[in-house]
Amino acid sequence: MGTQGRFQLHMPGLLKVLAEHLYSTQRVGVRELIQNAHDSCIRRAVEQPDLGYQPRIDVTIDPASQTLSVADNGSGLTEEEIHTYLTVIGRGYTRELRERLAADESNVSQELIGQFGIGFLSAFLLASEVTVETRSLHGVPLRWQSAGDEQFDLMPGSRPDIGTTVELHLKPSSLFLLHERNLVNIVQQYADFVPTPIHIQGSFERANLGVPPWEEPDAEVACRQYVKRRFEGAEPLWVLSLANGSIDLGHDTLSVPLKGFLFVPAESVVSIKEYGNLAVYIRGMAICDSDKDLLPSWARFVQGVIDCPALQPTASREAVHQDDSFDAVREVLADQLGRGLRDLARKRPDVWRKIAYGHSDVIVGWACKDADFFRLVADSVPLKTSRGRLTLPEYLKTSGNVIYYTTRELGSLQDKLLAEGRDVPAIDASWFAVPAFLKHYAELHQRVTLARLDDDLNSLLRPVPFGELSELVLLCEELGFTVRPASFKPTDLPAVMTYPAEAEAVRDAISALDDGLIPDGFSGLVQGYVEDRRSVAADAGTLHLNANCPLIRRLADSDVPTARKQAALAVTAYFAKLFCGRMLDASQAALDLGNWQRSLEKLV
Amino acid sequence: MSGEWDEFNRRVEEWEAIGDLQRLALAPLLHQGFECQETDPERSLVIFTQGRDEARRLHEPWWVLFFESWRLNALTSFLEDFSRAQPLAMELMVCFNSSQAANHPERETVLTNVLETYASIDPIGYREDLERGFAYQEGRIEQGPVSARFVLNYRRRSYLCSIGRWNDAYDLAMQSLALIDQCPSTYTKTWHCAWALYQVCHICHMLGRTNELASYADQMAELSATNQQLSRTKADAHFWRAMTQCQRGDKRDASRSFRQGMRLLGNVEKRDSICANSIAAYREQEGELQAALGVRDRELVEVTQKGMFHRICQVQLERCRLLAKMDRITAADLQTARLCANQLLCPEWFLKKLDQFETSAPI
Repeated sequence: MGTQGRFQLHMPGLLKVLAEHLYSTQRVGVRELIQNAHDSCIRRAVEQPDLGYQPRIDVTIDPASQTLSVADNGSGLTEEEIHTYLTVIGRGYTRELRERLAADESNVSQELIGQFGIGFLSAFLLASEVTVETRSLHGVPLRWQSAGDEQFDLMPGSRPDIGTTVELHLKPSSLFLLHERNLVNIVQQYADFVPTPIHIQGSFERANLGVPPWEEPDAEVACRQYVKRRFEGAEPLWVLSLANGSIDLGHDTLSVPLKGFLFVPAESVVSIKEYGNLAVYIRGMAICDSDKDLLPSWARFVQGVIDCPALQPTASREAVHQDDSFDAVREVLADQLGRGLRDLARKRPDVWRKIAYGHSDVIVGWACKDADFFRLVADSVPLKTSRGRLTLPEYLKTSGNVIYYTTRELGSLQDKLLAEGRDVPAIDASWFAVPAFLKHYAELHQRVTLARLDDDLNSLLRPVPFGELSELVLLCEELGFTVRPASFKPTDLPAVMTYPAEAEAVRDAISALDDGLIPDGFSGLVQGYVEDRRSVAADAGTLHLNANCPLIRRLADSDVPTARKQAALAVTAYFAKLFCGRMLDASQAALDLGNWQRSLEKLV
Repeated sequence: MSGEWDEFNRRVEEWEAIGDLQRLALAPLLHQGFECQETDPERSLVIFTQGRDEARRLHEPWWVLFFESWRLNALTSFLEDFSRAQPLAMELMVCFNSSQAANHPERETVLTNVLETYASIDPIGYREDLERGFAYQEGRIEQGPVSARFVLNYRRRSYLCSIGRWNDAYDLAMQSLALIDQCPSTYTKTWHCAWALYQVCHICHMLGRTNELASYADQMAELSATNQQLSRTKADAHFWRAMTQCQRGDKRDASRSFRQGMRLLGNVEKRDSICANSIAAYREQEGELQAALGVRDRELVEVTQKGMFHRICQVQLERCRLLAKMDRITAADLQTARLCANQLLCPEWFLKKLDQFETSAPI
């Protein structure tokens, strides 16, 4: 027969977990106390309406006594409320008040922040002893005191006015809070948008903004100023205001309350810097500084600040639950950002161009991962070409539906010159993501074809019969070159040199073997690699004589002595070899330069 | 391995001291790339490539080689794409043995990954070279409980398994587990122990050590639960559990373990090949031969075009075995398997194995 049981609570253990281990940082403890103070002020405004009421929170520190106090002129607590709410873990007056107000005064209920009834315990994260002085409108002053164990003392207090003061006797690990600067930072980090004014050390000026920038009359200007202040960065390139959204569920529509803004930071000094993070607020209180999952993965050039009551915070309220609401907010953000960027590209191409310039590496990289984003940016990202930066539509206007690109820097000058010879610029695709971007583009546009110049110059070098150039070919072969006549542009380029794609790798492997650099244990594998590429290893490069070049034609037609012809060809061939830039190390370059010079001397 | 991180940290600290933001942006890329190795290994490769290209732009040759090594690691360990890994492996083999890079702390890792590359392409064909390579690394890498040693042992066990030396692989696995146990870092110990157990379970299955298999699967599950990056080993542990539970006749538990494993695999890339051995073993144990065949078919699709010629032959062999068991093998199946075997440098071993399924049915 089975038995039924009941869970037991071990209070000291539970208190320790909630007070010391729930939160990841002590800074959150201050946030919780400010939030309680704010909710108390809202409660007073609701329950004791008075047109003259000015809510206020005061945070003060006393380095001498190592105390921090958070005082409010909110509703205060009666003895009964202390027993019912303050000292009952998991029960909070705020949640009950919000539920009560939700039907009739939903605007006011939205201003209440507290949810779980455990925030007060965070005081013990910071303090070894906590004293609460409180006075309710309908009650007497009370003083509550606890050292964070199961016991607390409640006695008559001395507070003259309505409100509550929480005084913390800070633990050694929390003494950093005694520096006013730290306190200001914490208030601005967590409670900048809390409407109740927060004053530090009795300052006349409030420390928090009170109104989020998107609610200021000129929201865009305010958001830009806020970005500069909060993110300590340069003027953002673009700001997008967010609005409530809705999701079509087919049978119904889901409303998603959303406020805030997204922005594209100015170009970073670090070209690979990725952003994509959001500061998340719920009802004006900061939950997390840098959520990486709410924005679409491709939006790594975007940052933002949002306030969304639909998101559900975790108990410590340092993160949000990734539940259905989270997915809905994510969808709304992706939709608004996508539409915003499309509009921007259409209506303010100058701004979009700045974004695409400033973050092109990140944009190109992520476009390859996301088909929708690719379609959004494919036509407007400027790519580096031999004629400066061009978008692909701009590029294709000059190249006639063929994209000529080169993926390596080594030897790319010759490739680019050959492309220019055909009056088309070559795209510099040495950044790893660019070739994939071009491939996607060609897949989307059936008429567009790709011509990668580094491995295959066939699209630019048109083979021609030996014909009139036979003699020149023979003379070059006598010099040790493998020669193919071809026609290519520019016509004043007499010859170019080409090598197979893996030429350098095979050469390096062979020389590493010859120099005994490869350990014995691995020489067999390297030897095998080289043998599998015998044809590459044997290929010393191919010299392409330009049949279109007037100089080559004159040389072919002229009756100058053969020795002079050969010397002229040698000058041409060694120049082509050096200009190609591939398969050259210092000693090879010196050797070729010497040959070039000797040939030149023969001519002179 | 500590040398690698000493050097890494020293360089980062120098940049921090002078506030060099451009260079400082290189270091976090390692973490970012590592973080998504299981869930999105292609992205991981992209991040390491980004690191390499940025290091080139900044003229930081040490970092270029550092990221190149991690690229090779991404290709061999998580993408298991050896057609892309092979040219890079050879290029790095040469680079890391040049006088400028011979003392780079990533050298041993690169050399071990070169062996892994060739052992995954054709371990029988390159057998002599691989034996020599492993012997060289044996002498180079510290014998104590360091990461480089754990990785070398792991790669060597993979090689022994792929050429069917299961008992040698088992002995090496036991030695490795004892060594890993001496590792002072909990994180490193957990990581390498979980991966060693991943192999041990398969080895035990092949050697018919069922009782040991159940216990190792439990250990693997327990260890993997402590690290979010160990989803694959965690899932694999559940599949082996399911297999042993099924063997004992606990069909309900087995089914539950299997479902848990599949759930865990949900977020992992390449889910059709990484746990194929354990999933197919469970399916076969529960008598679902068609499902086991399906696992192998999907595995085949995934490993094709990744240069894993030996693995393709192994999967073909498994397909033929299952088809023969189902009495459905055809001459066409055998012909396909033989064509695959003929891509190997030494196909005889596979061809001989395939002969046992000889059928008189027409192609």
